Amino acid sequence: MAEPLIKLIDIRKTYKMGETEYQALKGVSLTVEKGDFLAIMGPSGSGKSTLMHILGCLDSPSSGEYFLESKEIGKLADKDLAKIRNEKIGFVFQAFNLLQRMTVLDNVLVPFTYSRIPRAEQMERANKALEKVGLESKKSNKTNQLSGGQIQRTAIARSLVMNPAIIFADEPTGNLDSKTSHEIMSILAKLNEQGNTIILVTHEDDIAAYAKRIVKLRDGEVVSDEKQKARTNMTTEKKEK
Amino acid sequence: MRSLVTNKLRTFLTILGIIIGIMSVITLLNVGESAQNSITNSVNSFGSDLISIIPGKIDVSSITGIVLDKPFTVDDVRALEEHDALYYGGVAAMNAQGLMTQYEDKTRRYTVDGIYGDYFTLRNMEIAYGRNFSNEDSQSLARIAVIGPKVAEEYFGEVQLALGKKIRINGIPFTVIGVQKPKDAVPFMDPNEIIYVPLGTYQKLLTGDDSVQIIYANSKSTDNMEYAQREVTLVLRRHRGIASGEESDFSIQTSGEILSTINQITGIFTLFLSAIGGISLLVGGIGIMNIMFVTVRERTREIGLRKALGATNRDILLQFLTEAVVVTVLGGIIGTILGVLLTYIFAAVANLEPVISLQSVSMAVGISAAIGLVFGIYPARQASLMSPIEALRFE
Ligand SMILES: Nc1ncnc2c1ncn2[C@@H]1O[C@H](COP(=O)(O)OP(=O)(O)OP(=O)(O)O)[C@@H](O)[C@H]1O
Ligand SMILES: [Mg+2]
Repeated sequence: MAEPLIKLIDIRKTYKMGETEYQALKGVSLTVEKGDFLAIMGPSGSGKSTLMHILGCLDSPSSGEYFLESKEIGKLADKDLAKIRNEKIGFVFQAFNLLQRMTVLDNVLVPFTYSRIPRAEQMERANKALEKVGLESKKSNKTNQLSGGQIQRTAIARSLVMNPAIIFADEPTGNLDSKTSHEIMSILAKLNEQGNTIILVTHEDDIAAYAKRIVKLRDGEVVSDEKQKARTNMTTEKKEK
Repeated sequence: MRSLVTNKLRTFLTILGIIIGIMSVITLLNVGESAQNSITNSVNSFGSDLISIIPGKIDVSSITGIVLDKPFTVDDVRALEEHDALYYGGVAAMNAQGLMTQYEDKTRRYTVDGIYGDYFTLRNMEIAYGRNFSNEDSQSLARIAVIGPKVAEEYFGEVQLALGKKIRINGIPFTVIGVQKPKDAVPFMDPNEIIYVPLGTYQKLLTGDDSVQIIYANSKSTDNMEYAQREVTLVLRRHRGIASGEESDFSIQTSGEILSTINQITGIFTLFLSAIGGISLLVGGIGIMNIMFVTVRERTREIGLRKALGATNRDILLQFLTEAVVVTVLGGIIGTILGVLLTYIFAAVANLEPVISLQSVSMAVGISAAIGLVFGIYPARQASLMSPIEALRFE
């Protein structure tokens, strides 16, 4: 078998707050293959976001090893880390994190600021990404002229433009109503069918139901890791579980 | 960059310091340069062979800068004239004062010069219409005047109409016998706006004081300036009864010396005022630094996001540094424009030919960019070193 896309070995994360220390991750080991669709679940405070940030190279673990495409992340300098965040990782946040007062298209183009892709190709890719999330008609809108679902779709389009090896989504539907949540999940499921590797965090079972595999955390430890039955279509899948 | 546009007012207030600093530096340098240029021109137009003698000693420690024991009188001038001079040629004297003058129902204040001797020749002035004072006129109490072309225009409309007309000075009528040819303006004084009367008349009828303010002599050749100066000194010392070994009670200067003294003074002035400009630039720079800290704080989440999307520390550093430099250069450009405008206004008020040196403009823009760099680097560095996740979590 080929090398896994992601390999975590005994990842620990300790937060220091003055005198007290808090262990948010207590030795997480995890392997993710290319093309997987993983949902991380667990009670609030169990360390899901902490794990996602480490996976997304936004934070570094206190100890343990993290290999992304066989590269050891802990050994990289800022410049190389930035390159990985730019090229290998797409991140979708619960809080959307679009740049205010900019158009949808400009927001989707931001990752290109830190790449060397020619302008024409940038536009082509941005348009394709907006098409995938069904936002072509809104691309000249300012972010404050969008609904919550449209904002999150913009963020997904932004995470797609660099054709990343993996997309991380930390509670992407946490701020959305259930109808919009399912629209967003359909988009992510479709992207996974097209070959994108996706890891998402959610509290909700019907959101997790879209994933192929569910990892459960509790108190900073993996308590279960199960493959789900292959999906036939969206509706049957929602009823499972 | 967007935040600069959206916070227009704040940005403007921030760069006000830079604007004022650059504006004052630009104005000072250019007004200084213009003044220096005009002074040089005017001193040169006196003739480089001119020697000026004023009574009293130049004493930097006294309040007025001059210690005056015994004023000059026409006797001193005569002594110089009567001496069989080897090195100096012409001799002249002048007193000046601003006085109210009147023609028909028009009144205006003009500088009135009481002149004696070869004044016009020594000061390189020529007559356009009519005639100059004769030797007898200088010493007589004749109520006659030679006027500058602007005075003639003001009072008579046309310069040619001036001859034979009567102008009242301090209420006393003077007949115009000549009009002077136009001359290049001198800072703070227009030589075309002067009324000349014989020194004797001036002393007796206008001021009632027989002292002489300044005596001029010219060297027969510019090569012998030093000898001419020494000869004048000797004649005056002897006439004024100053024993050898005693200090002269008058000061003597050539145009070259006057020029270098003036240059020195304007140089000190420019330096002093530039220092004020420099201080306001420093304050402006600190303002920029402050606003950059605020901006970095406000945009912490944006910094986190940009890092999450692939920005390196260097990208963030450059982004904020660029912003700081753009703001300060903008301030520099506005300040430069205002400074150039002010220079023109000053020049117009002070009768100067405005000079805008390209060097000062490029320097201003360079300085403002440098301020952006120097005061922007610390906040920008702080922004660049934020951890992406901490920045994203920042509320
Ligand atoms: N920067 C921090 N400093 C100190 N403690 C932190 C920090 N970030 C997280 N924690 C703590 O670590 C634990 C795990 O936090 P984390 O955000 O990973 O939880 P989560 O599983 O994502 O929770 P939720 O479902 O509420 O988002 C929590 O107890 C939290 O208080
Ligand atoms: Mg969380």
